[in-house]
Amino acid sequence: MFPLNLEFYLSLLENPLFRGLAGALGVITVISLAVLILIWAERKFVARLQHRYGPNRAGKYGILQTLADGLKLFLKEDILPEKAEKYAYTLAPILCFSLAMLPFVAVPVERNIVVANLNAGILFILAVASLSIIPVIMAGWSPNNKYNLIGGIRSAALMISYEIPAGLAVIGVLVLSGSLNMIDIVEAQRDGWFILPQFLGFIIFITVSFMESARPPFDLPEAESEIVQGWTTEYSSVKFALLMLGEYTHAVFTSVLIAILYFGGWMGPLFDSPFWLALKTLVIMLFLMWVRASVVRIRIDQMVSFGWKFLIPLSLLNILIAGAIKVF
Amino acid sequence: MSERVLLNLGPQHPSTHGVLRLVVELEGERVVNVTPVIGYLHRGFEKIAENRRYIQITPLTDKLDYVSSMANNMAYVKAVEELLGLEVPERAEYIRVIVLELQRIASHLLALGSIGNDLGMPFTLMMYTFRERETILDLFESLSGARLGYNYITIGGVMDDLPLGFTDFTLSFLRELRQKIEEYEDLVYDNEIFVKRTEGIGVLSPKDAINLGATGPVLRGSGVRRDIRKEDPYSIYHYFDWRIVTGKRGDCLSRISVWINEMKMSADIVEQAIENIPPGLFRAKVSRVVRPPEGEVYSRIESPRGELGFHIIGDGSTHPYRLKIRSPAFCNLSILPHLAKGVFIADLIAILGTLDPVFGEVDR
Amino acid sequence: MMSEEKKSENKIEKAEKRKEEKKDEIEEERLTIEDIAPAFPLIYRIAESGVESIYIQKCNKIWVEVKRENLLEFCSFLKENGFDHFSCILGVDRGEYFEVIYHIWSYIDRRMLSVRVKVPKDDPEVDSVVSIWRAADWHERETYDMFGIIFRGHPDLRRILLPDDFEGFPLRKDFKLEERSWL
Repeated sequence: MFPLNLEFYLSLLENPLFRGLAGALGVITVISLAVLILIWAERKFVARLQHRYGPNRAGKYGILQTLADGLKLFLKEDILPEKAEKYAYTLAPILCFSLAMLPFVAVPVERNIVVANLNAGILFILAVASLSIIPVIMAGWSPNNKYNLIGGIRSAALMISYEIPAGLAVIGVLVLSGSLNMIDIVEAQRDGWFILPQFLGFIIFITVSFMESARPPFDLPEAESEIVQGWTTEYSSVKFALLMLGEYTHAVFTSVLIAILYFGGWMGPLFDSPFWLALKTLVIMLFLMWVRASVVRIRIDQMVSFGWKFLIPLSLLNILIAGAIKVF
Repeated sequence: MSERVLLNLGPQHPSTHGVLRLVVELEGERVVNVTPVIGYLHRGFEKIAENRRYIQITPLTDKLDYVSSMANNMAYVKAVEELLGLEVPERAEYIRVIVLELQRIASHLLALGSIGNDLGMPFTLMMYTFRERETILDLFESLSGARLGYNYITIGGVMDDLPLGFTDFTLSFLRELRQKIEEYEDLVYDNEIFVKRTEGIGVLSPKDAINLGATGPVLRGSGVRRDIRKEDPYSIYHYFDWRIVTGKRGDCLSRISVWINEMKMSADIVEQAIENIPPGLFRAKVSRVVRPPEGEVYSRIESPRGELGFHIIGDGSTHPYRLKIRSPAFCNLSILPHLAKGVFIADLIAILGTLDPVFGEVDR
Repeated sequence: MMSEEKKSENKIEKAEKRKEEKKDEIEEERLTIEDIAPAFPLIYRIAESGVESIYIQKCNKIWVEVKRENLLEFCSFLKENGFDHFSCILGVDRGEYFEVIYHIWSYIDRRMLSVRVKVPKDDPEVDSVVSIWRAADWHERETYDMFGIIFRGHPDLRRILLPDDFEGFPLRKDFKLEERSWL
């Protein structure tokens, strides 16, 4: 019934439906696995920075710890708060997870390996990334808990102050590469990574990605010492696992994006390979972890004024610099 | 006018340092009003003490401020000794000063570590400070056999003499501590966000600090140079060369700097004490049943958190007629509503962290 | 039987003798106003300002007794003369009456003045000193909580350590320690 030659299956991939399904499956598997390992790596790395051991019981060096935690979460009782808005409450984790996975379809890992090679890839990515605020607000509002609400409102209020500089910072890259296509952007870095001409843009973008993925020091929406767990306070069991996974995937995605936009994606010494992309992503993730362990949380008014009064003017300046480089 | 939200912070909350409930009136992110609700850890200590013998109360005092039990023991024991008119051998006084100052270091280390948590640097500062605190706990374990609740300072002296090697180990630890304190200073003062989050937040003017009854690092953080160890000297603090540490601006950062500098000062005192410790008895002869004469005494010491006073009324029997504890954390916490008007919710947590309440002592 | 009674009588006698001896010792050591006046001239004014009695325990520990009506006046007098640190309040159940003791420390003179006020049991009310020292706020609430002494003029006199629906005042001597029914 099923033909046994590979070419038949490859030809199936020409069909957009099959291609989409296979791509979705691939993305979810690879990213979930990567996230599992990265969470373990983060815990281990931060633990070493903090003079402790980190997970070391489940599996060799505790590498199965994330899996064990996930399993534990799946076995826990799924609590629905009595006065929660049921549909929004249930939909939020699903949306959060799927919206975190969605932008990966436009990310090329090699010149020819990409699920959807979009002409306006970067625009698609930015658009989907800004969509990810919706599940946060849903999760903040629906459980009828004040901590959730404050967390949700915080992230909605902050979103404006980081989305604009993010878009503006990317314009610098677009000016230099002259294309919206992700593959073209990487290929344009053949002669030199964009981090050199776009250093200012890189600084802005990495700051903004801290904010976007709500990682310390910008983890205001889930500031543990202030509002318990912020917008995820009322969630438990599978839903909490999905939210966590979605959040973390977001951080991974921004690292991948930085690697592609500023560090030449899959290009490396000797040969081009997705391996280089993975390595660069890992290094950026390690940087994020390092920052997490060494700074305290910024306050909300400081963050808003930082976004508006500092990042936006700076990113406008960055566009000027990019234009100047392009012209001269 | 924007709508106000009542937020219940606690009694179960990650950063209320125990079981404090704060009813916070919020206007957006701004705090309009804070009403602390305490008493979740109230154990009726003063009532229990009325039904216990004098000796039996010492272990109870361990549980007051459970992160600085030595200071509680000392405060109680000092009050009873004043009531008895008891002379304590000099060696015992030296040992007391050594353990009290080590306890102060341990307590400030804990406070410093937890302020890192409160400001949102989860566990980095805390794990570092706990590394040193652990050594002090080891030292105390070698003294008293316990790591929490020592019951070491007792009426007439201390429970046991210093074990072999204690002084050498303490000295080497203090040398190490000084280096580590430099690390903490890097992590606090050179951390721009940390400074931004604490500088100018929760400013307590010297006048208010005195009027509101602040004591300890909170008072000295406001620049008031007052310390019971100098003002109303007890034990043998006047033998040593040290000075009172103060902050400058009365904000959260000043209070944190007072902790850090006091640790250095305490290390100085311990070193001097170890250098000059005389041989002799470690405990005066005290009868098994302590029966102080009729009388009243109010005695205070400078605990890590401030002025810790015990008022004991003896009626000539083996039980105190009335025992009252003036706990520094209780008074310092009562300042919170005054400091937290119009600040952000994140600052509220920072201010609470620098007031450093311990709920065993607030609720008693 | 007889011998035991005798023994106990003897014991009591001995104890009383010991007490008397000790009292004598204390009385011998007792400081007078004149002893500390050179270093602390304010003591004369304190003595004149409607104080019932003065007992000088140590040269920096002075106990005074004040009538209930004069408390507020006396306290503001103290505040004006440098007694700025309000250390603590405690209530005592003396059997026939309550006693409220205020410990006030002067950061300038480095002396502690402890003010006693007798409060009758059938009318347990004193004036609040919160308007003078704001630090007294929670202390007065605690004393109210434990003794049921009402502080007139306190801005927010509620129970502080015990739950709002607690019955009785636990530090009074007639409070019975018994198992209470919990929810």
